[in-house]
Amino acid sequence: MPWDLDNNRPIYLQLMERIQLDIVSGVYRPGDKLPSVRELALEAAVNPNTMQKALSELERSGIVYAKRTSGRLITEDEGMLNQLKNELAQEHIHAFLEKMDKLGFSREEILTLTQEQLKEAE
Amino acid sequence: MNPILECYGLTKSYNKIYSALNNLNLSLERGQIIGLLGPNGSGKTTFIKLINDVLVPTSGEIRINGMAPGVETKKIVSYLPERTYLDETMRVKEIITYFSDFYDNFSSERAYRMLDDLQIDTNARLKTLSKGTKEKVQLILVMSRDAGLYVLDEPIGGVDPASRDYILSTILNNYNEDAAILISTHLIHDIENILDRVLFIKQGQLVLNAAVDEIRTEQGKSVDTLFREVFRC
Amino acid sequence: MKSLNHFLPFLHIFALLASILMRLFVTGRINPQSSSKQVDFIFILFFILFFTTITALSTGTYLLAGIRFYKNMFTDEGYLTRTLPVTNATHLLSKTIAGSIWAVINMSVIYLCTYLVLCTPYIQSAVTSHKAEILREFGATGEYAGLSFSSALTVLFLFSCLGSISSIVMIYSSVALGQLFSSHRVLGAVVSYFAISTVLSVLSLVVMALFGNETRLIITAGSEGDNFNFIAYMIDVMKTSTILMAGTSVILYIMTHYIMNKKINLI
Repeated sequence: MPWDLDNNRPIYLQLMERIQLDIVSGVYRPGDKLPSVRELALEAAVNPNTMQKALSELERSGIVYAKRTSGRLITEDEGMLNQLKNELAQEHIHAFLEKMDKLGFSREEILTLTQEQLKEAE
Repeated sequence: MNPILECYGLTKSYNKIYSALNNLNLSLERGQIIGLLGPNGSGKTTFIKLINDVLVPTSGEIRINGMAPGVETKKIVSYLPERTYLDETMRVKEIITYFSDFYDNFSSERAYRMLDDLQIDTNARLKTLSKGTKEKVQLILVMSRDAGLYVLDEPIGGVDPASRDYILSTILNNYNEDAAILISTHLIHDIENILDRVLFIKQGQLVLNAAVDEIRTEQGKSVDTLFREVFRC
Repeated sequence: MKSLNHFLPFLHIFALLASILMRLFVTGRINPQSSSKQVDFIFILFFILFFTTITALSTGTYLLAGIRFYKNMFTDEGYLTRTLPVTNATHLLSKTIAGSIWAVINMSVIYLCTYLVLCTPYIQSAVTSHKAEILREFGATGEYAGLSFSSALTVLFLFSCLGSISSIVMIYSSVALGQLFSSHRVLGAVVSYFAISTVLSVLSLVVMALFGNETRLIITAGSEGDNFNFIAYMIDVMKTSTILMAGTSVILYIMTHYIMNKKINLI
């Protein structure tokens, strides 16, 4: 099934996000080899050039590095991976807080509600 | 490498007043998937016919791989027209033989493999197949050629969503860096994600030639949304 | 490899032709010696049937040739044909050759059928016994004394074949001409066919009147009647016709080629 992509945002950014998510959530373990550009593009149902751009950007950020004959590998740098995980978490929390703000909740209310939700989930 | 398609001042008029295509200037690079978008009657089909030497220009030039349209360009251009253009009395496997006779760069194995994937009976006569299946057969024939330029006119129109997915993945599968794929379609939403660039044609003129991600970054909208704005009735 | 023309519809015709052949073999065996009213009636019936079938077959063959040409080059199928890496000239040539082959086959079968119908043992014996007399009557005297049936027949056959090939060229050019009438292409083709035929008939009449020695004799022979040599006349007719047909066929072929190259406007 093609990846779920929003037509209003640049594709390559969304591809990067999805791969980062996969890395953080453990679909790809540190040191794993990423599928080839073509395979990923086919899976996502996007243009290989766009996928290439996304992967290049990930390379630049250091999350992924290219090994001459074996393609692209996930970094084994645990520190970097944790940093990525935290960054993603921060983004989600930020988005959440913005939305709650728009709904008109105060900070204390948000905290209380969140704690309640967490207790229920256990 | 040189661009696979170039146009300089390409014009096609049918009479003094009306021009289907007016002074078109563009160049398409290899390894790209380009969308040719525009309302009906905007000149898209005329442009496609000119590429395929089914029409002659009134003025201006069109060059495929540096050559004028003719026998040599037909060898490297693989065209999927909107309509069924095959002899309906033929069987599928006869058409495969027909294509491999005429085109050196046609791969029968690839064609048979794809037909097998879709479980199409190669012994069946074309007229016994459903419309959707016929379109898939035509697409398979076109994509089984090792061409420099693929021109697909409405490849996913009139086909169910599951088949659309298959068709799009076939197109992506056959993508290679030496070839360009030009897709003319109305179903922009479904196809945006596989396009590198889009060309908007309005009343015979090129009004936009941009990369998809450029549009999304700079304008914050999808190509589909932009199209509706540009071509608002 | 050049012309992968489709023989499927034509194969059906051929089967028909073959079956007709068989049937006529039977007819040919009727012995005209016994001339009772019923036999005569059956005889006439069979002849009518024979002629109708032959006409239908011929018309069918030519019509089908024209239709295939039209479908293959000028309708939706034309999109495939024109995007093949083959020039228009090659297309026209291969289709003309294919059409001509069928026309010749058609003609051969017609001759064969006629032979089968006519050459019953009775007629054959009658002919052989009176051969010299028949030939003399036709005018095989003087310079034509050495003529035999078989050579005359061969010449006639070749002449008919030439005629049929030239018909094919004419049909194709009518189709091409019809394309120039953008809204009524099929009607245009039919009209063109009749127009071309008429022009050709008039032309041949004019040419014959001017150059045919023997034809002048026909006009004058009304009063004399005895000096008319049938064979000489036929040879004359054939000579001028051949030249005329060859000439017009070449012109029409070139015209078709020109139209195909300059006026391609597939809808």
